[in-house]
Amino acid sequence: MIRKTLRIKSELGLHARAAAKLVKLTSQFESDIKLSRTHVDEQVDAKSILGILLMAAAQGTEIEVMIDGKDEEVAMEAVVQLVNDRFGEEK
Amino acid sequence: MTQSKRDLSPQELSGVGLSPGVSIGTAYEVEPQIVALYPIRIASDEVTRELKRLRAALKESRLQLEKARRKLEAELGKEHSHIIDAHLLILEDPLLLEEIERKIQEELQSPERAVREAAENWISAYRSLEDPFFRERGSDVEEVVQRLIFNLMELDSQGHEGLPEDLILVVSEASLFLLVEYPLERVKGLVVKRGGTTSHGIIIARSYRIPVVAGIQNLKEVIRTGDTLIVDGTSGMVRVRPSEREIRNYQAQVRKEQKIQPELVGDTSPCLTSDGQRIYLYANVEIDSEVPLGLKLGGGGIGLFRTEYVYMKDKQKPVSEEQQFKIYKHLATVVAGRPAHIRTLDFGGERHPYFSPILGENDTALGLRGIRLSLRYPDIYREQIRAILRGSAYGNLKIVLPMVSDVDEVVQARRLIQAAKEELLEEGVAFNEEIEVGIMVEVPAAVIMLESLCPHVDFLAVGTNDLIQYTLAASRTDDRIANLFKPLHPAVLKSLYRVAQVAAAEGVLTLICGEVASHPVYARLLIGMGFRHLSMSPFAIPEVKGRLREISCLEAAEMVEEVLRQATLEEVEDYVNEFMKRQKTTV
Repeated sequence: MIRKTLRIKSELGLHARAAAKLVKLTSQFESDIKLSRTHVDEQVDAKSILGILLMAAAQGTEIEVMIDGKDEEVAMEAVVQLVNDRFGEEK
Repeated sequence: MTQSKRDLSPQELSGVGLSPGVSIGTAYEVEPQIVALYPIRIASDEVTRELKRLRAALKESRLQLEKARRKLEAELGKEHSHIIDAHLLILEDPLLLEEIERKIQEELQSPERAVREAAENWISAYRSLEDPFFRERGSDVEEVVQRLIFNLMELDSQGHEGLPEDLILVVSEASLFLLVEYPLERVKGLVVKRGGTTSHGIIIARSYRIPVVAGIQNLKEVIRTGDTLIVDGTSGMVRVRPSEREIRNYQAQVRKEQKIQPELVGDTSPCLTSDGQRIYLYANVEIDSEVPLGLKLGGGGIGLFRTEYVYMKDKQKPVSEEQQFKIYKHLATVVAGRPAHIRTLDFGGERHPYFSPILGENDTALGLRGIRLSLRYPDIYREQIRAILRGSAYGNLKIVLPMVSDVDEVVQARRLIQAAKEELLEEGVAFNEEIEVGIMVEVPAAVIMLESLCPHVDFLAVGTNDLIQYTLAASRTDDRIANLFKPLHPAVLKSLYRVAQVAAAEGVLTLICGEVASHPVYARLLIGMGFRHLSMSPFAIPEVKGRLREISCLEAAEMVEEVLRQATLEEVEDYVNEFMKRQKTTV
């Protein structure tokens, strides 16, 4: 199991389009992928768009990514890249 | 996702009773956009079959969304299709799906119910978010869920088997669909979120003696499908999950009420006022099955036959001329010589599955409705007119044109009617060549122009609900201004008085069609103004008849004279209350 804290930099936060991209990505991996807002106990499943949107992560929110499974390393690398790339948005 | 916490203790909700009577039954939350009921539970040997249906509905929903995405991408480019992407992912959300399957397998819920309950947890979680952008995502979930439920129902062929026998419908609004689409014999009560006393759904509920309590704002938080409810439409109370003892008490009351009913039936003797004036009472009906009831309860005929329901019978395709003809022929036969006033299509405001492309989004009370819609779509109108004309060969049918605001509309409509007559003559089809054509007087413009309209019509029918709404510019479905929708407002009374005066001078028979006619004080005012033909909900007829027999026209006219002197609603109300008090003490 590996963890990493990331900051949501995209202007609209982790909104519908970004969440869709994230789910499409995480669903390709076998590992269990969980997200939580830092300092909040409740975790959400990163393969569930309903869960991700319910985090209501606006721009600047810090989220913790927890990945557990065979392909956890590759998965983490891909998630970090997508988040830091502002989900492929302009700017 | 954690299960939403739910208080299961008995509760009492207080609202407004809109249709009297008491009933006990099983709560059923009606889906906002879905015009049919689905089963609540399934049997344990149906689980495999129902899971299969769920998968088929998921697949169908996915195909629909993908098709929509391709269309959107082709027309607007990729930028906009991400909304549909999100919908697709919600549809396939593993957590949602897992919960739905669990509810079907373990709780033996029908797939429709399972989808609704599982989604409701998410939707209420979204509703509680502070950020408005993320809170709004709850409506995306709602959209996806409605699509899925709709597709589930399309795949269903078992009809109403899984429904309880004693439904109490829990709805946000009492629309017309609500009752005409559902198995009425199973509907024992109605609990409505919004107020509004004049919606068509409430009118139907009253004529079927289905108790209704409205104006319960928090019903969604308290009532869930499957709960036992006691609906007391007389006092305006709803008891949620009552104790055994409460149920027993109410059962006794329900039985007592059932005993009172029969004495209302069957007084067909003429209605004469105490000074010997004959008053003609008619029934307003919404559905053809109400006609015999209206006549049996002492109606002198059908004062208003609304045809919207005729068009709603089949959700799949527009009703054919032949289907319409059968209904009008049956109506003509049943009234047996008494008149039946058929109001031509008056859609607008009410949504309709296959008319919605025509009506569009702006189908408000002030939009393309009534005669305006009919003249805009003469092909649809022609079929209806032909069907009514053909029916007129079998009995005393009359045509009423709704929403008339201009002489030219009447001229145009009559021209279309004349053309339809000539077609039928050529085809050798029988009809009543002398069929009477009248108009609804419900737009203030018609009241103002009444002298000019009279020469073009055979009779007038005053639609009081709309006349009040338009005269006071107060929507009757907006709770926030419910205090403005006042039948006793002096402006309304003066309009009605003007109609009575002009109609008398022009010698045109005038019918009052609207719920106000069933109100004892109002009926007195109408008689005092000179109206002699009143049409109302069938069940109101016996009581109104009884009251009118105690009234003298002369006294009523004096009351009207006095009332018309008042300048404000308050003054009118004070006068009327005072008058009624005096009546009681002198009787």
